[in-house]
Amino acid sequence: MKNIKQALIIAQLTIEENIRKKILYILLFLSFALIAFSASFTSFDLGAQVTIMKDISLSGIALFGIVLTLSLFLNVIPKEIETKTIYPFITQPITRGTYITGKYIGLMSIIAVNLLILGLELMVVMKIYSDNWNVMIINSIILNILQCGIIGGLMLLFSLFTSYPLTLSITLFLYILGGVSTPYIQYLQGRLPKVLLDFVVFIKLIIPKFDCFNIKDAVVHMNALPQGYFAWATIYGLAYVIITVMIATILFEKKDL
Amino acid sequence: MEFVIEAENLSKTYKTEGKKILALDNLNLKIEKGQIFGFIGPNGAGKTTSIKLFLGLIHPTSGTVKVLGKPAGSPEAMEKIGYLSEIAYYYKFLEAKNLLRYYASLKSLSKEEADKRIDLNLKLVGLYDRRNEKLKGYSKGMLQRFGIALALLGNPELLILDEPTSGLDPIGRKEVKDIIKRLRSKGISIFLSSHNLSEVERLCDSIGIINKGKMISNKKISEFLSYDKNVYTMTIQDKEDKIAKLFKEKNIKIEQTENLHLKTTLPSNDIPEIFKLVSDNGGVVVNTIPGYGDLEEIFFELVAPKEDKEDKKDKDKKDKEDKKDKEDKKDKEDKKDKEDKKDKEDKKDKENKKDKEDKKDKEDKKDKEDKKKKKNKKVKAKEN
Amino acid sequence: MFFSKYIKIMFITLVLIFISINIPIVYAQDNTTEVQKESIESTDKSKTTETSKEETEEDESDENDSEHKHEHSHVNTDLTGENAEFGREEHHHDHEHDECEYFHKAWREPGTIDIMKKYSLILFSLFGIIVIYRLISKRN
Repeated sequence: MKNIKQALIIAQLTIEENIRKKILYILLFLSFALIAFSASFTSFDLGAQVTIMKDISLSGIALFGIVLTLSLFLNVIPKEIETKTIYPFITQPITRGTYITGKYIGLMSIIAVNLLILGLELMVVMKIYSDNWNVMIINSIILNILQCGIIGGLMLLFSLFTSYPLTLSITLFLYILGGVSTPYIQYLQGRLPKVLLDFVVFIKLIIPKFDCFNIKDAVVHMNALPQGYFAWATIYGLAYVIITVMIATILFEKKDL
Repeated sequence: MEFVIEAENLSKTYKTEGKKILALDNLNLKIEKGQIFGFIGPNGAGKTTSIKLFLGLIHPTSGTVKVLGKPAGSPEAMEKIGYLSEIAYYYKFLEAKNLLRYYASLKSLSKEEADKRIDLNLKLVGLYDRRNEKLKGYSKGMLQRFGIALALLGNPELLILDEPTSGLDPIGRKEVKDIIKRLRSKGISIFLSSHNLSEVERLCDSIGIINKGKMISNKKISEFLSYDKNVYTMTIQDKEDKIAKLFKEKNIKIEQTENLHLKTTLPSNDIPEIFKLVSDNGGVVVNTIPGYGDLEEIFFELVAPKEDKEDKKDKDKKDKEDKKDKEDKKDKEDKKDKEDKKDKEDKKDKENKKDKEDKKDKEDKKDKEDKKKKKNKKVKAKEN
Repeated sequence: MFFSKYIKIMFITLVLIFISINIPIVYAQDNTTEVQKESIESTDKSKTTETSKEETEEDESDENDSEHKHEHSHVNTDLTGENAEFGREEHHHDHEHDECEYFHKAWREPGTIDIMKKYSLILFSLFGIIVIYRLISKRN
């Protein structure tokens, strides 16, 4: 209980620190503008316009989430270690795990709130144009948040023992690898050496399948998701978030500051 | 006996760019509860590494360390430790009081208790009036005071202070020293790392000297300085050679410091007599302090390596010779000036004398001529 | 020393970029096999039991489909309100090499939920094991 309270305090402080970053507002403004801009496609009939709006907006929101995650998580811990602002915290009666969890919760809160604001904006636009709230947009946003959570967790993990460019490269690589679907992979199967194949198979088995969190076309075309899909995707996402933060905690405990 | 810090065979090796650097080599240290322990050493000796190990910021390569009976870095140990870092590492975007509130909540203090302690600590360090200002606007000294307020927040049993008076003006330094003394009287143990040897000497009960990762000395202050209240050390400057000669005649033991002043140790009763002797012979007493020697000298003796000592000896010899040459040169010049002056005076006297003689001759000649004229006149008058 | 470190980083980054562009994953084969298995099972079911017209149509389409299929849905503008999200018309296409096939969305694949269940179980179990291990080592 004490640890949770301490983690929330660290989260609150992290939010206060990061909410002053200008990139947050620039990206938010750009995404707002994109959604508003997509509503200006009046050359199509209403049905097509709504589809295009949803497609562009949801893509924009997903991209915004990923860019924001990458920019916030890239040097959250290394910067604190470099500037030594971590010392007054680590010399308090808190565990390193509590500290890193608090940091994670704080940053994810910022990302979640931003994505939800954009989701709400899109829903309002949908209500105006199609007289329909399109509640499934929220489902898509929640899965986007989980996707960002996994990316953030991976960035946090890799930033503890690699430099900034390598952290970014590895995370992006894993994101792309996790998002690529099976037919393409099957197509390339015979075209690369077996050693490389085996290596990538191993990685593909471990890393999350990011394409599970992408239900954009279901929302755009208003298809029903398979029963239980959303619930299991949420649990799946949370499982990966928890395990990446746990591994990051273990590595951080062993790190010299 | 209770110990606040217990380090056994504590070692730390850093690996950088493929090289291994032994920062700390088998440190064995036990610090008793309730005392102020001074930790001194040259730059790169291992002081900061030791402090980081005590706080759990880094992990030892070998050996163990316990703080307040608990493993170093554990939340249980950190609950009762206050730490002041050498350089201020705080979030600058928050106000002092707000930031202290966050740290207080991490220490599981209730809101009322936290506010009470925060106000008390800020008043103690003189920042109460600026509690609602952001740390961005604080000077270095103010940040240092803020750090002290933070270190005292959780009513610590052990305070680890790394250069507590760094960046403070003389008034601030005195205030911090007074705070440290007050804390010691409350039974709080203090681990003080400082480059200011006089401060360490005055405040600490025990001192540990570390050099190149090894603890080279760890004693009580009285043992260090062979402290004897009835014995004093006097430092003298000016006319050192003359005074040294005099002291030798009186069988008073004397030695020369590195800055070529004289130092002697004498019982308190002899001080007035020696003081008079020095001042009568043109010397100046720089200071008179109790005990043998001072920490600075002992520190240099222990820390300076042998090669440096020899270089120092040669340097001292050279300085002596240079000084002697200078004095000889000065004496020669004085002598020459005197001689020149004397010659000038003689010359002047001679000239004056010559002028006088010339004048006298002239007068005599004139008198003679006048007399001759008179005589001629008389003769002419008679002939007529 | 710096030069070799820089080269190491460059090399790793290049390998990662290369892999990410040309990703061959055998997992794909396993997943496809699962899909095929399910389709075979459902075909068997239709042989042994009497099915409704819809099920027969589905089975026939499964039997005939030896290649990977798409489901494209259209917006049902007849329905309004919340029902609109759940209304759909199914439209089957056979494509050999559709571009979007390479970025096929996982939610359409029938095996995805099972995979998510499996992985969630593994990950939460792993989490539990780590927590228990840390608690035990802390006590010791």
